[in-house]
Amino acid sequence: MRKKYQWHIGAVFVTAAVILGALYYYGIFVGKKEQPAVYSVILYQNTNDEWSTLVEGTEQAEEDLDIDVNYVYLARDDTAQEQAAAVRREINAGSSGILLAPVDTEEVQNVLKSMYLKVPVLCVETGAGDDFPVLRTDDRAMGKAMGEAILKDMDSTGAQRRVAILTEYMGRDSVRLRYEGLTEALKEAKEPVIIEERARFHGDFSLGRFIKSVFYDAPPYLVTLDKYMTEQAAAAWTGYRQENEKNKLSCRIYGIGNTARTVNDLDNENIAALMYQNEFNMGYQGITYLTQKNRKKWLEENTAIRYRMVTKESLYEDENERLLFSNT
Amino acid sequence: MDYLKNKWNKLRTYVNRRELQFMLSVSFTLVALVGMAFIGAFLYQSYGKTAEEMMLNDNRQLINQVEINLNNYLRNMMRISDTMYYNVIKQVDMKTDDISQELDLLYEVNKDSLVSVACFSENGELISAAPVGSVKKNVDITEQSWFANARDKMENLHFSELHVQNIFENSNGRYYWVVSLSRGVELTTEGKMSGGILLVDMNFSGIRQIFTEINSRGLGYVYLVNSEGEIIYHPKQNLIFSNMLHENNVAASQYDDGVSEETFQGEERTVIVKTVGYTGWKIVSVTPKKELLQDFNSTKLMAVIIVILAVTLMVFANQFVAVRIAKPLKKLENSLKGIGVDSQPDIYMGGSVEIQHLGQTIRSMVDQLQRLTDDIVREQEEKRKSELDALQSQINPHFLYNTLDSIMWMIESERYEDAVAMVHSLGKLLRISLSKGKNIITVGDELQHARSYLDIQKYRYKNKFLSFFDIEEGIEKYRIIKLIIQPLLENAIYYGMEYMDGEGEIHIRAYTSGEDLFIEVEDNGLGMPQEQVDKLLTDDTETRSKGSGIGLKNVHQRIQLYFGSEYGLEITSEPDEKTIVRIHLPKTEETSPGEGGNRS
Repeated sequence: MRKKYQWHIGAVFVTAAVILGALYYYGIFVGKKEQPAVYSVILYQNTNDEWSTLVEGTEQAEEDLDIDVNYVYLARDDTAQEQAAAVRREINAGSSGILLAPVDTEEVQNVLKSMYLKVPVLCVETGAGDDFPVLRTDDRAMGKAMGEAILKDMDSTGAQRRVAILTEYMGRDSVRLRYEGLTEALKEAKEPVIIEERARFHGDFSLGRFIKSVFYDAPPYLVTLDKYMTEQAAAAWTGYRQENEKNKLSCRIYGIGNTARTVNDLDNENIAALMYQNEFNMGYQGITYLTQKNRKKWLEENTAIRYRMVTKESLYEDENERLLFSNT
Repeated sequence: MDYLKNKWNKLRTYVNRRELQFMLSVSFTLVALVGMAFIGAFLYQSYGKTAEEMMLNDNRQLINQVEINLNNYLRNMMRISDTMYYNVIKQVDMKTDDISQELDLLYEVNKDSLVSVACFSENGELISAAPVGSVKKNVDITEQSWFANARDKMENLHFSELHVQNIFENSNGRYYWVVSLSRGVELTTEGKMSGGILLVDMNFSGIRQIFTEINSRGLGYVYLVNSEGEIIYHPKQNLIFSNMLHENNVAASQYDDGVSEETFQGEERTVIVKTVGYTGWKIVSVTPKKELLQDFNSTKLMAVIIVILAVTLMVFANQFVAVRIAKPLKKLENSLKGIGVDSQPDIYMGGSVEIQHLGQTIRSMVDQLQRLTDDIVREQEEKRKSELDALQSQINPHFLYNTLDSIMWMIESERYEDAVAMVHSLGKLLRISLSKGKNIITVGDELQHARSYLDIQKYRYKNKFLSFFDIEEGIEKYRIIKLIIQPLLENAIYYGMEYMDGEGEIHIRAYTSGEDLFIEVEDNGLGMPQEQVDKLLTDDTETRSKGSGIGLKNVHQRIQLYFGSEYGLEITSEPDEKTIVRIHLPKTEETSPGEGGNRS
């Protein structure tokens, strides 16, 4: 009996010592920060600050969620294969999730399908087929809103009812959807509008010369469906206008864009109007949803990225100012 | 109430029934728990308050630091404005003098914190600006809020809301967030005074830097609002502008300086507000309560675990102490259970000094009690024996008188031989009766005594009866209590023979069986019914009218007193037939210490 009791007491004291040791360990080392999870942002990039607003969002998420974000920017005209290689490299490096702006919807879809993806991949701005969730605005509605704005301008100015559309990068479904929305709006106009699609062919001119060639036909309206194309169109138009100053040419450019260059071109009246989506939200929510491992269906039902149209007149309105001018 | 009282009584009854060990253990644990609870509550309260106070002090210091830095920054801007106004604009004539050089110089010196410095006429025309630039087409300067404010209140310095600098042509694509500091100035043109506006656009990055440094330090965050609640700086400005986050900035702008408590979107927060002099801006430090007490919570968790551990250890320690205290007492109690008159158990004397002393005392008391009991028993026995001895030693004087009378009568009638024989028998009788004061004599002597007695009685009763002795050979050596056969013979003669018409017979038999010795006296007298037989050895009312006065009951008690309750007399009788009285004794040859001895 005595022996048994002593054994019990001993056991209790040993247990107490172990617990106190654990507490000591816990108390001493609990403050030691664990290595934060790393997420990757892989973006196609044709111009320098193409994703600056989105990156502000991902950086805010990085700070709020106490994670690390690794950024991979592709060079201009990089292919889906190269983007897939970047995805593979990031996963192998221990990335916990990939935020991806696909360079081409179908091609990226095909290469991603052939890969074993052990971490979630969330597309932004452009999708990669039905298998991958995508976080973006309603591109079709945005295109349609742009078309309606052009129609309204036609009605108010009496300008010729002719619209040239630069159909570059149609491989990205975002561009294609914007195009569909735009043409839908233009086709639904009470008075018919001539839609002129302009696309480069491989081996043709450089992009600058190609766009300049569009101006030879003096389109009263030129629409670009991609930020880079908007920048290029504005630059080409500025040059073309200066070259033909005496002719008093007029071409109102409506484009997608929120880069510093496009905003500056809008401010300097080289662009008539810009459509942009809230990329800060896209970046912030994208990383947040990656960490939460939300499924595609949940994303489709619970996310909405807003878009806005801005003109020279509304550029310095509070909301546009906040979304288009970086203050970081 | 009754229910509670009932429960309380039940609890008390339950507790009272429990063992000392349980009581000690529970009492110690309860006292320790209550003590720990009080200490814990006190420490919890005081530590919680201190922790909260410390956190708030830290935040106050941070916010003071922000205010100092921000004030320095703003004073620097105001100094630039003052320098430009009092040292340049007031000293020149706008018609003849060019201030652009001074503006450029001032800008160059402060360009880290400045975006632009410009002077406008009261009509909004640009007089000069640094860096050199032209006002955008279609921009009406007079509609700018900073211009209107300065024009309306010329004497004041005006700080605008945070905005993008948008009045100058911008070909490089860089846009700056600025806070515009504007003031009304007096311009001299050809000696004539006119109004104008001096604009200093402060780079927002200077303000942001002040706050970013602070926000990277303490708990919570610090933001800046103007007097209308418009956010000038917030660490999550973009989230707020994107409507993904909301801030209680408008309410905070109405708070007085100091600490306030607020609940915003279900979250309790401590807000410290400090107004920045002159601008009316407010620096707001927000610390969610849960964050404020986060460190305290982890400490609290640790404390709770330690308390639980301590309580567990205490329970075991109390149990251990209780066992150490109660176990010796329990052993002592168990050792006392067997105490009685006939038993003297081994009393436990272990445990602490006090319990050892208690055990020793009890043992001493028990020994003493035992001794006293033994003394009492011995005294009682001796008293009883003395009484019986006194009875036994009595010789019926009547018997002696009659015997002596018979001897005298024999001598007178010249029956000298008979007289001699009778005197001889009487002498033997008296000698054995005395037996040198011994109580225990041999069976041979006792039988001799019986023979002498019968011889005398035969003379007296004129051979009215016959006596027969049937004695087992070798039985004479065994021990017997003195004078126990005589009362049996006396009864046989007086009650058996006296009323008989015919020849009476008395048979005396002595024999052994196993370890027992038996002596029987049988008469063929009147006998008696069984009811009377049953009363002979028990009935206290028995009276004797004849004989020596020593009754059967006394003989029976004497035997039992000497040899134990299994021995004594056994009587069987058949009315008109016979009566047998049997003496049952142990077969002993030597006198045991308690049984012998001289009686004086």
